Amino acid sequence: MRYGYDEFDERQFKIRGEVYKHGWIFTVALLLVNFFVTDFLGYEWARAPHMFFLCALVSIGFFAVEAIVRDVFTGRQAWRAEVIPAIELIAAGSMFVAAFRKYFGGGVLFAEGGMLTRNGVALATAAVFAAVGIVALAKLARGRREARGQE
Amino acid sequence: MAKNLRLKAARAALDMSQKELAERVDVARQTINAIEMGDYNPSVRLCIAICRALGKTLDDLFWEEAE
Repeated sequence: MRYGYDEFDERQFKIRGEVYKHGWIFTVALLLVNFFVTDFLGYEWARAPHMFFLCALVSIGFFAVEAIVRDVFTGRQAWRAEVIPAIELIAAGSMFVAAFRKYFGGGVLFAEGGMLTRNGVALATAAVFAAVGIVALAKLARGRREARGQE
Repeated sequence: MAKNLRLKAARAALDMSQKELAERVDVARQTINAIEMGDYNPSVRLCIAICRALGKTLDDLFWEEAE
C-alpha cells in the first residue's frame, strides 16, 4: 500500500487540508479585524502598511504552530522535524538582535529604512519565530519520548 | 472517539512496536499512535492493512458494539 506523495500517509493528507483551511480562515479573520479597527473604529495607527505585514506574519505563525502540533511535519523524513526548530530559533535570534540594536543600541538600524526594523515589527517577528521554534522543539522532544516508550 | 485498546493489545501480544506496525502498513508511527489514542478514524483500506499485519479481523479490532 504505497501512497507515493512525499511518503505521507492518509492521515497526513487529512491534517494538511484542515491546517491549510484553518490558516486561511485565520488570515481572513485577521484582515477583517484590521479593516474593522481602521474603517469602523477609526484608529489610524492600524492603517499603516506594516500592519498587513504583521497580520500575514501572525497568520504564518498560527499556521506553523498548528501544523507542528498536529504532526504535519513529522512524517518519515525525520530530518525535517529536526531542522525546522533550528531554523525558527536562528531566525528568532537574528530578529531579536535586529530589534535590540534598533531600540537599545542607540537607534542603529539593522537594515536602514527596512520595514522589519520599524514600528516594532522586528520584535513581533522575533516573537512569532521564537514561538514556532519552541513549539517545534517541544513537539520534537515529545515525539522522541513517545517513540522511545514504544520500543 | 474512544481509545482503541484492542489494537494496542493485539500489537503488544505480537511484541510489535508502533514503529514496526507503521512500517508494515506503510504509514507514519504517529498515525498508529493517533488510531490507538482514538484521535484518528482510519480508512477501511488502512484498517484492513492493520488487521492483516496483526493477524486479526476487522471485527476483532475495529467493530464497536452498539450500546
